[in-house]
Amino acid sequence: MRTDSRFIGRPSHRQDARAIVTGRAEFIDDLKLRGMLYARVLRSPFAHARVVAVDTEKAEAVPGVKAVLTHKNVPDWKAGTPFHIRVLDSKVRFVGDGVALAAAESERAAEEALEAVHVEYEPLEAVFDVDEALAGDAPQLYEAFPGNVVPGGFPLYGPDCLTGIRLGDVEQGFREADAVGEGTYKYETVANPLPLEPPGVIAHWEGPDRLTIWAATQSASWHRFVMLPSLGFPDIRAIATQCGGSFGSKNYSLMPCFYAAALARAAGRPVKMCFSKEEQFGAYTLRPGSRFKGRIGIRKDGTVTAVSGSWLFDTGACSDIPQAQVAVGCGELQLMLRCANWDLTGTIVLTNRPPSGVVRGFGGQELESALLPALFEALEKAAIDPVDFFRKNYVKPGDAYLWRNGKPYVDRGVDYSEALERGAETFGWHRKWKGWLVPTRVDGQTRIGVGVSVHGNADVGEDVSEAHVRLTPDGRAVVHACVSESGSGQRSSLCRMAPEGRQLPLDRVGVSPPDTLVNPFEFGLVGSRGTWAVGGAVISAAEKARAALLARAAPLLGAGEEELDTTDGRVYVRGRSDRGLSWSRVMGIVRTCSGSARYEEDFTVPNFLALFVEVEVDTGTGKAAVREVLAATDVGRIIDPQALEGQLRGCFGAAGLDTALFEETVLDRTTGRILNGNMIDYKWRTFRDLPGFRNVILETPMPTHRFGAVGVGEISTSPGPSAVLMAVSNALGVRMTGYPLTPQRILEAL
Amino acid sequence: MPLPKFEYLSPKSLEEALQLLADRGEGTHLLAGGTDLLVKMAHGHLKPRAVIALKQIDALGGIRFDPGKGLFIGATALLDEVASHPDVKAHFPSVAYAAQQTANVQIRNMGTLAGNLCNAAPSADNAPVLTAMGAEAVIAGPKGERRVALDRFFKGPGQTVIEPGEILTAVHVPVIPSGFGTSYQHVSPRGKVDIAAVCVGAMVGMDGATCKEARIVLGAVAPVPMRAEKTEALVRGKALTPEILEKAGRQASEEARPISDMRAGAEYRKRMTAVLTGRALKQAAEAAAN
Ligand SMILES: Cc1cc2nc3c(=O)[nH]c(=O)nc-3n(C[C@H](O)[C@H](O)[C@H](O)COP(=O)(O)OP(=O)(O)OC[C@H]3O[C@@H](n4cnc5c(N)ncnc54)[C@H](O)[C@@H]3O)c2cc1C
Repeated sequence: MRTDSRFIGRPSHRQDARAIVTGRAEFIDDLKLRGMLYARVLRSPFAHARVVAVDTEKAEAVPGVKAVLTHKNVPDWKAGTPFHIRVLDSKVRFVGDGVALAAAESERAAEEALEAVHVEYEPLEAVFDVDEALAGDAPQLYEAFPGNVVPGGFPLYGPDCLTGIRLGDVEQGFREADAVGEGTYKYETVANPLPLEPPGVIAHWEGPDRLTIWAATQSASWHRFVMLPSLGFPDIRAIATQCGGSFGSKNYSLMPCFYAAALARAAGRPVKMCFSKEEQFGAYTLRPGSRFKGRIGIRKDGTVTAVSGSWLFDTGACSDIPQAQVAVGCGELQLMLRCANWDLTGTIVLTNRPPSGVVRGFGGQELESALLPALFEALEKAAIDPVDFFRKNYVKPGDAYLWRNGKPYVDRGVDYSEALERGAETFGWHRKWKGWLVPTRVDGQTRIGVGVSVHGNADVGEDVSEAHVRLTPDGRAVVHACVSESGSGQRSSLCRMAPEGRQLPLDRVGVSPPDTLVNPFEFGLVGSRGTWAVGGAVISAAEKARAALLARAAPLLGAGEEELDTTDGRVYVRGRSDRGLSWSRVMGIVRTCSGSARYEEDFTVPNFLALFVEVEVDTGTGKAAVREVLAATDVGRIIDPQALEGQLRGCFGAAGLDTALFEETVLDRTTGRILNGNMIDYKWRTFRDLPGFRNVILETPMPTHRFGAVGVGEISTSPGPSAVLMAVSNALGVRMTGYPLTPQRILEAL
Repeated sequence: MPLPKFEYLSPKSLEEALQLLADRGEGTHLLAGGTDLLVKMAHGHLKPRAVIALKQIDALGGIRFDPGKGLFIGATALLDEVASHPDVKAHFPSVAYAAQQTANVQIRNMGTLAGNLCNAAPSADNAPVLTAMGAEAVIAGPKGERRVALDRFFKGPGQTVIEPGEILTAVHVPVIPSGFGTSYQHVSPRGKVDIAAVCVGAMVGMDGATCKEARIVLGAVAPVPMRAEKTEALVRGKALTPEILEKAGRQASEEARPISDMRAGAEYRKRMTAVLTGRALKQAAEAAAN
């Protein structure tokens, strides 16, 4: 079966690789429109305050300034879930919240204008902790959300959207438990996904009700279809530029879009709004905070008997789509914990810190990182090897689970036990694992420990994709799919899948520009869906285009369509390559053969990834470092080995595994300021810190599309934090319960 | 942020540079690799009227080793050159190691060891071990050349004994006497590429198991890299047993006067001073034995 393609599974260059490394790729900051203005934002120094007065007279007089906006004269657009985020408001809710906007001939002039804006604030009491925010006397962020709680349920996921998991009888479940893990655990490093390129957009009104947005984005359609209802006008055209990384944060850039669109309308000229690195740190998307308070009961044989508790989801100063993250997180937890009795409630809480939003791991990483420490306690009490536990508990074909829309689905994918076991063997787990809270090795002041965690997601088949494939007489193919390039190489991977195997050399296959005006609908590259959902639409469209071509060729060749094949721009009778015609002969020069297809969402094939980690802890300095990581997965079929390797290595950095150790947004809890909002003080793994890294990748064909593949891009990070926590606990011989595992925390534990 | 306007000068000789420095007067800054200076300028903390680049002055470049006189590290020698120089690695391993541990590849290929000292950050990676080894700054000025031992070179954060009109031309490191060993230890709580939260340089002279001489310098725990003189006195004349090393660590942490900042709390810094002092003494003693 592996002869059906000369590209699938083989290394080749990404189509944009050369342009990126030679500096020719066009990023948003390279783009310049005629008459374009530059926008800057005046930001609040207070975590919570009323804007009592704001005077822009002097600002408007600065030479080169074309528009200055405050909450008094911005358009009344609203976004967020439910709608509550305004372009600018008379109240600021975090340090860095927007107060005034300026557009000018240069960034410098816009900055000068903002320096001349006079603002009077009435500071209000602020709240930074979810439990404090829920207390009766807490300062209130929004009138519409009493108690600082945002209602659950994401409209797009339907009326039964998960807000928690309620099933069976937890009381009974705990009675049946041999061991219970219980406590309050925090995964509140609110790390920054921090793609290299800060967010940026250009907004240009082509008419009073027609707005074009160029954006560094991972999902162009989110601008067209997600922004549309809130702006209240009929037509947005979104064009994605080359995107310098996203990690979920640049699906759409809400505030940059709001600012640029409002200023562009006021000035009557295109406006570019590129956030600075500091703004990306302090006024863009942080990973949500996550606190779990509850209990997990298990039996000695590793059966989970009950899960109950409260999941507090800290969304910061506004609510983008946390309801969706809660729903998906609850779905993902069920994939790794098979349990009949649940009483888990998600509560979305507002606090006065820079807002959280969409970050890869989307709810699941947050929930599991906070909840698994409770499970680990139960496993420790019952002396169960975590590999045995995950093998028993990870969802298997035939098992049912509730997914994000609250509906039950039955797994029709593959059994991942083998991937887990092969990973364990290759890692040397059975040799290195000495039991709970027992180090693998002690060497003077150095203690070595191992940990493992798993994660999976039934999002690989989520949402809708439409694609169109066109074959041209000169022996080329064009894929029309609204897919942007945010770093994963998916545009190139679609080219491998599109010519379905052997038709065309890769340099003869192109993808349309990611522009919502010229492409069919595409939800975007979210939740590891690119391989199956987007790929599925593209493959089907390509097959239809091919069928159209063969149908035309059949009478010309005097053979049945089913007898024909096509390679390198020629159609021929299978086995008789001398009996063939070039595509130009088949089509003539004034015709193309095309096919369209639509992919409908399917939640029945979960993916899977296990991360094994080995850490070493210096008990003198308290420093923990990852020595080795092994990722084990089954992807059905490798489409592009290098892209896959890149995705798996992506477990480090960008709010992933390293949030267990040092990736953290450090907030001053009295002023609400971020203390490490720059690239030196905000810690990221560098090349000097790279540990050993290995993969175990199985290829068991999946019932997805023609190539039987599923994506794993998003999930490579999610098991990281809990695996590291387990490993450090084992190294120290002390149960660790909070992130990040700083030297301070480790020395205290010793 | 674009840099503010300034006059850029690139003299070819030391004399010319000294003359320019005298002529331009206040607001004139020297530029070696620029990894400190340009960052300050880009952030608007420093607005020089003139910048004198030293790179074109041949006499300030290079690294020279003389078995009798010791090591001379020119003012424009890059951190990476120091880290990889065969003579430095062979005869002054801790000097090479400290340079190697400074920042990252890009910075080491631009920044200089002299600039690291002149910038006078309390946490400068190259200061502790050089100071412990009795290195001195060679400084040229209108009145000729003077030499200042590094333990009298630093005046405060960002301040040194270099007067307006003077240029540091080289750092001189004396030969390590036989029976002596050195060590550099540092820790930053997060990641490997970070400004040190605490760093310790040590040189000890051993007579068998007994320590006859010790110089210990603590970085990032006071306004300047500081000698831990009471700790030095404590170990002098003693066998470096685990007990003595622990005592020495405790003594050093008492001498340290750290602050709390983003990078680490004062308590953590004190604790690390103890741990690193013990490790530095142990490693230096081992080096002395070889
Ligand atoms: C990302 C980053 C990471 C860093 N990490 C570290 C680290 O881990 N450890 C560490 O110690 N440092 C670190 N630094 C600081 C910096 O790189 C070093 O201090 C470097 O050695 C300075 O050398 P330079 O040649 O670039 O100096 P410059 O920036 O050119 O000069 C520094 C100062 O010294 C003065 N000066 C330079 N040469 C002379 C001279 N010959 N005579 C008199 N005055 C002179 C200049 O006027 C200026 O005030 C880091 C910096 C950056 C940007």
